[in-house]
Amino acid sequence: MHDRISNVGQIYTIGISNAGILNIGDSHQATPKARTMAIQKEGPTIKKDLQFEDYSIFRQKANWPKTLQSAKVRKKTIHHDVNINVRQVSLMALSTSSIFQVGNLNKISSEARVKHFRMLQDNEQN
Amino acid sequence: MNMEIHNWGLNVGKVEITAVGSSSVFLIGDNDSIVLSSFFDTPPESFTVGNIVPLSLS
Repeated sequence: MHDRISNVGQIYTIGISNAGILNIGDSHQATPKARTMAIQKEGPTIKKDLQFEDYSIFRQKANWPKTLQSAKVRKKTIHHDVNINVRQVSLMALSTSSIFQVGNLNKISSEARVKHFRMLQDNEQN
Repeated sequence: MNMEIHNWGLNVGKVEITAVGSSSVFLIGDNDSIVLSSFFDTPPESFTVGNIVPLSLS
């Protein structure tokens, strides 16, 4: 059904980290997930093991939209020209389980959860 | 709803992106369904009353 072809002349990327994916080719499904704790801490950094399970933001159920039965959409696609041409892509960073895909990717369902911490010194608590 | 799509090719010269992060997708190609969900939680004390730093110099 998706027989379009993506042609990319040049890809220039600097950093792919933390489960980033640079995928060239077709895939059927991708479900990237990311759980992050961002900590801004004043004072000496002591080893403190925070657990994801302790915080409700990581336990909450994601409320995926129910597939909208009412909006039945019959989509008909006709490719007169199957080419998708991109001359040049420059991407500095690809990180935290994100995907750069050249090619078809039918189904994507992604989830990202970020909890920020700010740990100030007790004497400066205004 | 009936939707009919006619594709006559797609040409892009140059794409410059600083960052693709936290479970996001940059796709050059076709797709059927995308569902994105994100949760965000800022600490309560990040709301400080008082000296609000002006964002612009106006």
